[in-house]
Amino acid sequence: MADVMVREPEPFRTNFASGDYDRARVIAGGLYAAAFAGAVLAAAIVWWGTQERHEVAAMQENLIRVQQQSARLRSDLQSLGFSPDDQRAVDGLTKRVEGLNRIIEYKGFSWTMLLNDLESSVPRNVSLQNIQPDLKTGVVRLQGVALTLQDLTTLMTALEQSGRFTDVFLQQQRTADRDRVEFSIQTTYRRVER
Amino acid sequence: MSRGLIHRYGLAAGLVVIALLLNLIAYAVVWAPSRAAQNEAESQWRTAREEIGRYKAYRQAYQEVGEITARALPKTKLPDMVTTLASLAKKRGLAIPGVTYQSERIESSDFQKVGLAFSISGPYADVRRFLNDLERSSVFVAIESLSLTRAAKESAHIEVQLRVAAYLRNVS
Repeated sequence: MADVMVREPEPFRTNFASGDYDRARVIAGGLYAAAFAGAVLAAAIVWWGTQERHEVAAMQENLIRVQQQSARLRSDLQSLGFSPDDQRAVDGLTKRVEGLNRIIEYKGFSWTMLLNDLESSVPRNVSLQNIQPDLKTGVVRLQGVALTLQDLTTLMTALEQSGRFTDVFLQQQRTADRDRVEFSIQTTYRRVER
Repeated sequence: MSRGLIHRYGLAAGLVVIALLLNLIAYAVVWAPSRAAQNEAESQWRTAREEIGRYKAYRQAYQEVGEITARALPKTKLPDMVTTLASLAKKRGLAIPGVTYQSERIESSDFQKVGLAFSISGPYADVRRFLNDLERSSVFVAIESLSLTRAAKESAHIEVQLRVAAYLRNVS
């Protein structure tokens, strides 16, 4: 006897859509999504733009304050007799400042300190006769008389070793009366800021 | 074919085009003008700040130059300068027998430089104190050079030839 298997009948399924139809749904979905994203982006641009407008308004207020301060300063200067927007006046002021700075620069040099430093470096048997500093460069020219050449050498060594004089350079030397040595030395003096 | 495309995507594509147009309008009408206005305001603000910095520097320089220059002796009071020198020397027991003057041109509309050459003699310590007093007496007096010689053989006194620059205020 043959076995008969009895099953439930399978439900009937069918799809009339073609492959193109599926693709069209995807494309249309993408386009809707792009349109939505575009709308969101447009809204964001409007929002940013509005924010920027607020910032611009705040900056304009700030700008007005700064411009008022600038106008006050200009007016102050004009009341002092100086026109800040006149290039000739500005050049004139620059020259006045430079001239004054040059004068004050000379005061940066202290003769008292130089004499102190020389006193501690000049050995016995050496006598300085002329001290001539260039106040701008700090180069000092010393002229004097030493009893012997050895004393002159001692002076030059002492100047170098003092730490206050550098580039000690013997410019001239000659034997004078009673075998004394007349000399001229050039050196650079290291100033100490007062 | 095209009718089919329009039928399938027409609405979606239309919405995309509208969204694009909205973006363009938002950019052109709202964002770009705001951005330009902000850039303009920033640029003006920077200019104004620079101006303020410059004006402040001018004001400070102008006032300081005026104040410092006013401290200098006017040109007409050159004899006062000599009196000051003499009194400084006297304070240290020294004397200035005579002074020679030489007017020098300098690059300054505010000042006139006068070179004063004179000699003093005395003990080295007193001469040094005098030099110190002279240096501290005024911003507008500077010792330019000095020459030392022994006043006499076997003497403790030295003679100093001094050249001093005095900057006197031009009187307008």
